[in-house]
Amino acid sequence: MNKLSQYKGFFTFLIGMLFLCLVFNLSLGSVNIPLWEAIKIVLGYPTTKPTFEYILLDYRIPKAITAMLTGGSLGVCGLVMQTYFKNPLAGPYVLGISSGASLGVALLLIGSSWLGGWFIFSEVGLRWAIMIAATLGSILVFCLILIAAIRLKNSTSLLILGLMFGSLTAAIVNILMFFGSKEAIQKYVFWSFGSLGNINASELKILGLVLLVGLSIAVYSIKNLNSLLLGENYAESLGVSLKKNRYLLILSSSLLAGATTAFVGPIGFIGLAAPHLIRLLIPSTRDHKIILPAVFLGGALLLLVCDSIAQIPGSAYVLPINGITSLIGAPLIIFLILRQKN
Amino acid sequence: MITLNKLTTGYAKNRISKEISTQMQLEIKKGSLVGILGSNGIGKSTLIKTLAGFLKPLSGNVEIQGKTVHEMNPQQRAKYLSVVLTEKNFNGDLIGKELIQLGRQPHTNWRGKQTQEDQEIVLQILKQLNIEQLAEQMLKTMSDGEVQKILLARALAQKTPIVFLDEPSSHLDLFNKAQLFQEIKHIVKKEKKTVVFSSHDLNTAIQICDQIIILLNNQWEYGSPEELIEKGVFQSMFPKESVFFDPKQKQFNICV
Repeated sequence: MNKLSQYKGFFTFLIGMLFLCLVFNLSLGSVNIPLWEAIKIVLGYPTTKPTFEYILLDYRIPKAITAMLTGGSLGVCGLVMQTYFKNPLAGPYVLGISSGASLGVALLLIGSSWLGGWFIFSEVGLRWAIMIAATLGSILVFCLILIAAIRLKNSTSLLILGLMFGSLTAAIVNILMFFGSKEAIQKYVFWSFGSLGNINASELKILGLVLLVGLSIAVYSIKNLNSLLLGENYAESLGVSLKKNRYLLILSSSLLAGATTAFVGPIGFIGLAAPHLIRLLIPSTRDHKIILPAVFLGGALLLLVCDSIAQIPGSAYVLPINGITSLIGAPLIIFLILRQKN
Repeated sequence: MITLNKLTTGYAKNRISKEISTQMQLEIKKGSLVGILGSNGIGKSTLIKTLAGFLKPLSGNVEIQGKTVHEMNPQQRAKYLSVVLTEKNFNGDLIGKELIQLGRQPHTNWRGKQTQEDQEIVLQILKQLNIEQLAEQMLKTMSDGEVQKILLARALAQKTPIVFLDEPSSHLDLFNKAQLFQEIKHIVKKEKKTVVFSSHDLNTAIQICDQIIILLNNQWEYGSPEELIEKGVFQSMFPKESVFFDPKQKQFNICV
């Protein structure tokens, strides 16, 4: 459809913004690193203060990369779900994948406190256990959705089913919390705040790999996503195998939403807001060849901005990222919708 | 050429099947304009959807150039036939040109990259249907007639030998309807495409079709309008006291 070169300026703008936010983000935190020093370290120049280098390379850069990767992935996942379900309210979590992750984590944290096996985990062991539990939870819901997808014909039923799975898992988590110990509930609540900074380099590699697979599938599906803009019957008449395409999209969004939730906890609204933001900025095309990469950059940008706000410039506090994304995302969507009406 | 072999269409649900048109045996020649006529709910859409491979026949089959339609995969089918459906649940933010360009999807690579040739085909069709002014307009801002033309343009851009149109003229006023059918007639003649459309607009269909399939309750008739008039099929479609067929003027009149 539209040529990529037509949108060169827009992509340059997005990448420029992303770079600016990245530098700004790196300079923020409990230790104040001047902007200029941050740029120098990022670009590989020697620095006068080795502590800055240590803080940046070991903590802030992995965190910023995590923010961009997960933000971008959540955005793409939201876009794929919005196109597939032809519903602007769809997002990465509509299939209930991340609720599955929450269930896994709740079962681990609260369930293990019942068994008294709580303290068998060391600090590092617990982190890994949480990731594995979240992954297993996502996979469980993913399998249930897949079994349902084989039987269901239209995408709307699948959407409702995903929402129901989400409610069901949330209900189970609620009941678990009712019986859970104080410490376990506290751990769970902290997990549900989301955290971008808890990831080290080796974990980042695994996360990056899984997200890359999910993103690759989404990119492979670009042509079919474009056909789906016409509705499922037209898409089929254009050569889309609806079933195969559906499995690919479910797999892609499960990997993207599941891996993100497993590694950084639930992060709301980015997946919903990023596609809306991009569509508002470039209303002249619906071509996923343009929109999809733009949404990845937009999602990365949004989460990076949210993370910068969560640092509260000038203070040592770090607010929960999941709260900030909703705090920024919800008004953004309200604003976009009100603007559309005019 | 489209061949219907003892085709029975309908819906099978919970092991109870509802047969709609039964044991149809007929051939549609290449380069002909065929109308499927019948009253509301008689199964015109079901027949069109079965011919186009969206629905599986209850029994029998449809063959296009010797290949069974419902056994082809969507990619193969997309090269033989294109469709204009009644459903309008496409994304309203699409602009006219983008929607028409989607008709080129079966001919593009895995990324859906439009070549120079694809773009020229789209421009030529915009010109042919005289809808260049709609190219940059969003679908949600267009009238029913304009949308219908864009959808026809998309089907033509697919460059298939066969085009199926489900109720292309419903919601259109007389002028838009005339324009649409003139264009269709022109395409059939010039490009030797086979066009099959369903309609409940009997008078128009009798005027423009080469062949007509009439669906009646558990019955069907196939032939040129003249043959069907001779057989007296049209008059048998409705009770005489409400609708009356005038064989000389070749049209239905409401009895007042």
